[in-house]
Amino acid sequence: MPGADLLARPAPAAGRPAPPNRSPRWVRRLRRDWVLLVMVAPAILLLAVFHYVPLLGNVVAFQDYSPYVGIAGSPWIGFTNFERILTDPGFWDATVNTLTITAFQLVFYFPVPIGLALLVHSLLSPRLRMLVQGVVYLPHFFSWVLVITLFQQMIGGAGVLNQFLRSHGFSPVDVMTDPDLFLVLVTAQSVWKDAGWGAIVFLAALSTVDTSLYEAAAVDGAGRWRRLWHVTLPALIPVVVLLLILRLGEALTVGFEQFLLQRDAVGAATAEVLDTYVYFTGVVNSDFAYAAAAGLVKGLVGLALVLAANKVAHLAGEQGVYSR
Amino acid sequence: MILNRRGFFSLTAAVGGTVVVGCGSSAQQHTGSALDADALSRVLPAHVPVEFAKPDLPGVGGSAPGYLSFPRELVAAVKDKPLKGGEVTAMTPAFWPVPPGLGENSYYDVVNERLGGVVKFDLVQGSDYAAKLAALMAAKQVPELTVMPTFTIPPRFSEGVGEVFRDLTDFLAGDKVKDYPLLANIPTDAWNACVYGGRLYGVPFPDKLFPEALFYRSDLFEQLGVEPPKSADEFAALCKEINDPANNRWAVGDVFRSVVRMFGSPGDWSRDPSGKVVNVIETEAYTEAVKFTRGLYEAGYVHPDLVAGTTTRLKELFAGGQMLIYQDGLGAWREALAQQRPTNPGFGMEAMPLFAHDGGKPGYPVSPPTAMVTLIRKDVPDDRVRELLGVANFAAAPIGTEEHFLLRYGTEGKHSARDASGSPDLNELGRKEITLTYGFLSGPPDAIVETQYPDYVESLHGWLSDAYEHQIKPPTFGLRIEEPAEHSKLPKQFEDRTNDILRGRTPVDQVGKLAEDWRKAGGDELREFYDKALSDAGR
Repeated sequence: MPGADLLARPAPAAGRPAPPNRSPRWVRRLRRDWVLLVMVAPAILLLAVFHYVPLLGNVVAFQDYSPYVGIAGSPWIGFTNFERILTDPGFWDATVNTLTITAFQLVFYFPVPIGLALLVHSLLSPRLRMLVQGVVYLPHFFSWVLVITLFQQMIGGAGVLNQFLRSHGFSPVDVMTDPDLFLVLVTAQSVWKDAGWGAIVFLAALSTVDTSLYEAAAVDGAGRWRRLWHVTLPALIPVVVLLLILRLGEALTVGFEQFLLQRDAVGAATAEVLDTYVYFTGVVNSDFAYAAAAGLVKGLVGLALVLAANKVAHLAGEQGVYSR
Repeated sequence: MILNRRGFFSLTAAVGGTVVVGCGSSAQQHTGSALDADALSRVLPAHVPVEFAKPDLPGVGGSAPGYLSFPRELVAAVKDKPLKGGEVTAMTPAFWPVPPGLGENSYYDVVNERLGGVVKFDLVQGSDYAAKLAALMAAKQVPELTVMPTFTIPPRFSEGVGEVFRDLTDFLAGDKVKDYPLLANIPTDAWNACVYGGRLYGVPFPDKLFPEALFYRSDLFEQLGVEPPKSADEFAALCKEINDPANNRWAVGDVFRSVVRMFGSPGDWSRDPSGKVVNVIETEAYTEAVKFTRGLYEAGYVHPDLVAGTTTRLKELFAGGQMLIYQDGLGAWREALAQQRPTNPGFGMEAMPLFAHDGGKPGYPVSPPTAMVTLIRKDVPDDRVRELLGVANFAAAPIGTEEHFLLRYGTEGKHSARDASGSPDLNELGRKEITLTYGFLSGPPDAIVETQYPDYVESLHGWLSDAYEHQIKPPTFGLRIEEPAEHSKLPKQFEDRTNDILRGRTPVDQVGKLAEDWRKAGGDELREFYDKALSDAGR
């Protein structure tokens, strides 16, 4: 952490004489750190206005909330909204779908940026490296609407591939509308769109590895794979663990637009995830109390997962998201 | 991240709502409600028809009249300027590119001059309209005139309408509407959608009773030597004949709702012979329609875009001849002609005559004939309300009046020109500047006035007179029934389930379980609710 040395300043030398009229400790700290505080103030203000103050609005989860009479005018109904959610089979179907997708992507999507970063890192020509980076970052900036339209136009039922097959007398392949292929499809889309972007963090971690370590390892007779195993990967592990924990915290969030746009192609039974469920049951019907309650449930589960994963990381001797 | 962004909007709206609204307001909570016909008739305006130009094709038994030629002599229907100066704020949806704004738009200038004041429009894209209106209502920051499409009424609207909008009952009910003769010309059925909680809150933009129809490409049908079908079997055989995926041509797009009608839907809610209230999902018509439509999907007659749930390109596919039959709103017909005829004079589009699955007598359950409702903000003083209603009155001018021409065609010679037969059409400036803005504030009774397409006028007039004859008025017609909020997710849920069966994702025998699951998921409670609402209304 670059700021760590600022926080852990060495104590004043012991032999130094105490100044007369010593002002209180916090005044001294304020005098010392005011520039830093001013610099961080806008970010704190934004965080307060756009995150912490709106958080208070979550109380509507315990109300029969109507936007026209506001929080003050809406009756309190305790846990009724939570009951409605937890007894709705649709909620549990959406949860199962979400967790399935998360688990699948953890195995088949999460490692891709790491591999990509290693590949890009091994490119020696800086110009070629820049080019590859540019190409793989670019899809991140496309909206999901565009990405899915592209997939539809290429491999959809009336897309380029199937028109080609049909006009040559083959039977078309059904990729976009097959519920059984949906998991693979959405993961492929995510990889295409975001793998390059996700590699940035790992590339940054790789660039911090001291090159003399590689030289020393090479001198000791370590081959290409040995160097990867004993030098590169250990350098990546803290970042990997950190991202893994954060990803677990978002286990119940797999994206919204991507699923909303393709929901009707494969049906709600496969593509309804928690976010689309909340959208259709809560937001579309302006049942904000219901939507808020669902959001709270999601947040609590996410928090529990992060805490648990962090604990595991500590037990395994890693630093995790925060240290004790 | 997505959730955060959405959470931001909904929660700030909530917080803002409290600040502005405070406490002590007594809007009714969402228990659901219905209004009986008597209470309705006490607040509805009288109907005093006027006619400024004789139609070439008179309406048949109440159906819309048609005009084959545009009247040469126009009448001034509104003598005075409705506004006494000043500015009026208004919000209307735009389902098209937004025209140049005030100060750069000569059409706005000429209409404002005639109105006697400046109307400042806030044009909002149609797809965002419901969300924006809901937010503005919650914050009580609506403009003086708000146009609300009846197909995107914000949820819980009836709780907020009395808090945010002006009660117009005392200005318009009964004979009072005669102060605004062009509003009095609007048929009574169109006013039903403007009534909330037993009071009249808006001015309607009238629409047809028939929201949609099956359209087919008549030019391509002729090339292929096929005719519109007269029964379900003929329909399936027709699809088979015209379907040709190898040449990028499919038979149908979305047709499901029309197929339900073909199998004899009695409307969303009806009473069966024993008097029991039933939902359409419980009817045999629905079951048969699901099976039939599934067959179309299975045989590969449905365009792959629709199979993949993409509905945004259907108009394009139809215009491009990649899909020969699809169902769309009746308004799509004229739009398609206006878009395609300039580049493809042979473009042929017709509405399929109604037919029943067994070749017998068809039926069409009708919808309330109101497309938009214009509302006035609550704090507007009485005199100002009268001025604003005067503007709506102006907007309701029918064909044959100067006002009608001005709003649709601007100034003759500047925004539009008449062709040899006298039909006006917009020129380049007119197309750039004129969209439905003032025109949404209210409208004349339904009539077919697109004289530049005489073939279209005759076709639509014929289709409507036929449909009129076969209309079914469901028992809910004319009642304003708002369902309890806890059942609001049922339609989406069972639309999804139906789509699963149509597209072959769940076995066809599931269709029998649809109605049963619907009952368990709250349908039975909803039935009781409707039973009571209908009984209260004496139906």
